[in-house]
Amino acid sequence: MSNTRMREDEFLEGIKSHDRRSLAKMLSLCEKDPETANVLLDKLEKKTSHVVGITGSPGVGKSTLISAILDKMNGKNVGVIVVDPSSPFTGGALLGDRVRMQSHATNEKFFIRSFANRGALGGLSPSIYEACDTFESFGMDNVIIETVGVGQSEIDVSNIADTVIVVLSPDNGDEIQMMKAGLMEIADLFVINKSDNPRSQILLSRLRAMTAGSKEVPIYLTNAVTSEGVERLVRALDSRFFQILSDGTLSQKRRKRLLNHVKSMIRRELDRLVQSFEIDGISPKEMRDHIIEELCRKKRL
Amino acid sequence: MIKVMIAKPGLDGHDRGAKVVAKALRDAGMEVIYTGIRQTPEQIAQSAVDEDVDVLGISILSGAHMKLVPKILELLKKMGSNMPVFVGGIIPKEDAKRLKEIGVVEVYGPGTPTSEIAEQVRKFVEHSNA
Amino acid sequence: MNNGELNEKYKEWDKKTEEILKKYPERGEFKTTWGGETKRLYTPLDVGDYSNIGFPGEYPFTRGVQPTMYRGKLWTMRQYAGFGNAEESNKRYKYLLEQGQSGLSVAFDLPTQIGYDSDDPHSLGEVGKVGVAIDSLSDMETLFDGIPLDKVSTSMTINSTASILLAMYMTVGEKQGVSREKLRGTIQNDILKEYIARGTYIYPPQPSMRIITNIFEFCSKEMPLWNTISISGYHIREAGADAVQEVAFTLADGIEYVKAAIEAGLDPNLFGRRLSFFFASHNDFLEEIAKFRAARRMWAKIMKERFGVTNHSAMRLKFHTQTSGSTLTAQQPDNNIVRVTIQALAAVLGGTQSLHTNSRDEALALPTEESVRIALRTQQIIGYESGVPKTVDPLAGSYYIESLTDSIEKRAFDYIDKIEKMGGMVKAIEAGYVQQEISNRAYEYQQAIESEKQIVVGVNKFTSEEEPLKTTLKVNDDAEKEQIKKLRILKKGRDNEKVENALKRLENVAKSDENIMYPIVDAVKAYATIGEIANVMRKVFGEYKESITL
Ligand SMILES: Nc1nc2c(ncn2[C@@H]2O[C@H](COP(=O)(O)OP(=O)(O)O)[C@@H](O)[C@H]2O)c(=O)[nH]1
Ligand SMILES: [Mg+2]
Repeated sequence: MSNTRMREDEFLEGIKSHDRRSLAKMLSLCEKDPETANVLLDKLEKKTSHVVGITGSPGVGKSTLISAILDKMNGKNVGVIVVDPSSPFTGGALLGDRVRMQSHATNEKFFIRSFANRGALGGLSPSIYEACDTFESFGMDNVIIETVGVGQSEIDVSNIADTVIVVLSPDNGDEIQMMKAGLMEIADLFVINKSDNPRSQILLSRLRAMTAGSKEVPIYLTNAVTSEGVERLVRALDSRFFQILSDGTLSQKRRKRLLNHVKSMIRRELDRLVQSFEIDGISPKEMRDHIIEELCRKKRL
Repeated sequence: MIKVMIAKPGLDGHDRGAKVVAKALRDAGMEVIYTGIRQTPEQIAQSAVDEDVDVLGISILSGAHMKLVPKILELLKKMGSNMPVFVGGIIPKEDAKRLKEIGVVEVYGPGTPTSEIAEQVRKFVEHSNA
Repeated sequence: MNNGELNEKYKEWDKKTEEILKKYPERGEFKTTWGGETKRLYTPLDVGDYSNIGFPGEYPFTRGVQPTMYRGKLWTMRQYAGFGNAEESNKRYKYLLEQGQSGLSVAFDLPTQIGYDSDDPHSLGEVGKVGVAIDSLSDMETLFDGIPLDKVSTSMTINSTASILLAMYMTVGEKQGVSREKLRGTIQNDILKEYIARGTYIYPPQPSMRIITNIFEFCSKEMPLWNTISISGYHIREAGADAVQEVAFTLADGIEYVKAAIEAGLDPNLFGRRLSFFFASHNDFLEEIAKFRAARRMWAKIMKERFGVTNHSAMRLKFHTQTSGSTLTAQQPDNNIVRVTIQALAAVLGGTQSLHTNSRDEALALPTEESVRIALRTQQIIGYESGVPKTVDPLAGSYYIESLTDSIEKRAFDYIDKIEKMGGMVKAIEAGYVQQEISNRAYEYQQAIESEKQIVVGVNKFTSEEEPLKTTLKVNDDAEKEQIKKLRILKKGRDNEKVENALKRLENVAKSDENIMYPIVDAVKAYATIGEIANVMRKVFGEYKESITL
């Protein structure tokens, strides 16, 4: 059998029987051919993982924190999705988050996968929904997603994650600026990482002052390098999951995620159509009408 | 889209070559996962399979290549992968020959132009997809 | 002629030359390794008032750290190489001592340098490879068996596990009846450049700096003759830095260590005298000479102006130089002899205190004996035949050399200021800034070679079909097995309860702010292994993961 091919039914069997290599291949399919991936996903049993999104400026310690979280997740199955930016010029990308998690590379309970954002805005990969569904169908207890962490508009993670952690660090001077740009609203938990830096206390009181009055968002202090405070964070994540499961928040979130998944599928098809159109001598309006016609004609994508 | 992993087994920290190659492949439009230094054969093989990369590049300068490369190939095989693997570093000719015999697709010595490596990586991928 | 007249003359000449260029254009653009402009001609206009360069042996030491330089004594020709296991090395040391050498250098294998025991999975294939394998005090006892430690000076290339190996060396000395304060030698102990370039780090920068500070303090009390650090630009340069970056990052590391020493309560007037540096010498001959001169002047200024040092010998930048391994080519390896000659000559004209010349076949494998000999002969020819050591700093006053020296100094100080603004070298490293600057330069250099803007003879020009040099990369696999066997026996035979207790105490001290050297010494005495000791600290301090900033 060749390296890159695996038959569809083999995928399905593999995923069902918890075969690591099938999971790897299925995730590649999500990137290469998301339509087929969606067809296959429909044939798999739906399971629910706690999907945790982690966002924050570059360098605050997101990847290191994930590694520390994995240390405290013994016994659980965890899928990790890390996203890095693609170059808008060459399309190439350097995927470097994995470096910080390599001590877990051979742990059979964990599965780490790197994605390039391939031009997608919002700090995630264009196939993020399919990838996340794949991990869930595989039976992961948790799925952790690390966003690109460059833009200020990385709020897409709240469209997919059940719980969003916004990570801040006292090293980054522009944190408060970031908060104003919308990250504040999506945070379910704040982590102030690099607690070994004495200035983390100042950041803590500033953040407390800023969040006072709005919905109550807990703040955790961690040192991702030595794992200090990480156990508490992990326990908080677990209890939050039970909380949102029982109070109906989770089903709300899942509904939102489903809608966003659908939107992303439609957008993908739309993009494809727009790209494939000859634009010579056609007005924008005519083009739109053609595309809509095309979409309707093709009822089933 | 070609996905490559550049891995550095062994304990030496001489990552100049590995980084230059990683950067060149990225600039050639590929998605490159660089593992960082000090990776065990187990970490490298498992990561390459999990990431389902099209090609694996191994950079070794510590002189431990005859132990580490065969081990990585053996592990990949065990995991059911036959992805193309290339090696870069200070590799004596007779060792390079031996490595190719056991399945390494190419061995690059110091001074190989990165453009040549990028071009060949494309070929390895075409070849393994054929 | 005064400057005004000279300026007029210069303009005239320049104008005429521009005319000639229309007919006979130059070969291309000329630049320094850091991309600065190299002018067609340098004149007194480029150097300002250089009557203030000063004198050798006097502040700011631009012309050398001693008044007589090589007229008194040639530089030390120091060639070192690593040998497999402790027994072999011990034999070699005894041979060298019989030959009248009194300085020993020890190279350790990578597991020892990174705090892994020989049976650790990380050590596979690496045991005894680039130096001796030391797992415990027992191996160190073998290494120095029958060597009177009060009679020798030992230089150890060791960084993140320097505390442990120093403790072992000291203990071996005590067992021989030589007290600590009599021991002489050096540990490299320069952890910052490990993060920047060389890669044998273990813990994150902050706790590593704490360990170094503890070593400084310990040695100032217990081992006053010991040189506690050798600040190294060599590996920074070899990782792809240009000459300015090499100077800037090395001196910025130096600043960080002096700050740490002062924090530990040491007097920089005394501590400064125990510092030494280690640089690379590359192919751009004149630039390299200027680099060494600039570094010397900068360090003197830093010690005096920034740290308020008044003792002149604490301002002197003394350095070892090694020719550049990364400029040697696998193609046409004999050409490397010429490269090494140029580089060695630059180091001597730059005023080095000691020199290692590389062997021609290093780009291929471990050097042959013949190659090692040629490398040493190269130094001897420079020393005894070339005539350059006859006078001190012979190139001083060259308009170009002086102008380059000034501009390297200026640019390097700009970098140092920038690093200071980031909060110092530790912060700059954590942010990946320094690594990225170097990696960018390395990539640019590679691109320049590929586009043939940079010619490398025998690689991208003047290539020829050739018979490859016979290489010898002999790997003794038995060494690994034997070392592991010894380790197993050791672990069975020692008092394991004592080991446990010592490690427990080490953990407690690591968590406190007491000096960590004392419990390390106790653990070493109980025959705890390097891996066991390092693991305790890994648990407390965490492990450093490199910043991937390509
Ligand atoms: N001192 C300290 N450094 C940390 C901590 N967490 C992460 N770092 C360092 O911060 C840098 C960036 O970490 P990384 O996980 O790559 O950040 P990301 O870009 O947010 O994923 C690295 O050098 C880490 O070692 C921490 O808690 N304390
Ligand atoms: Mg990251």
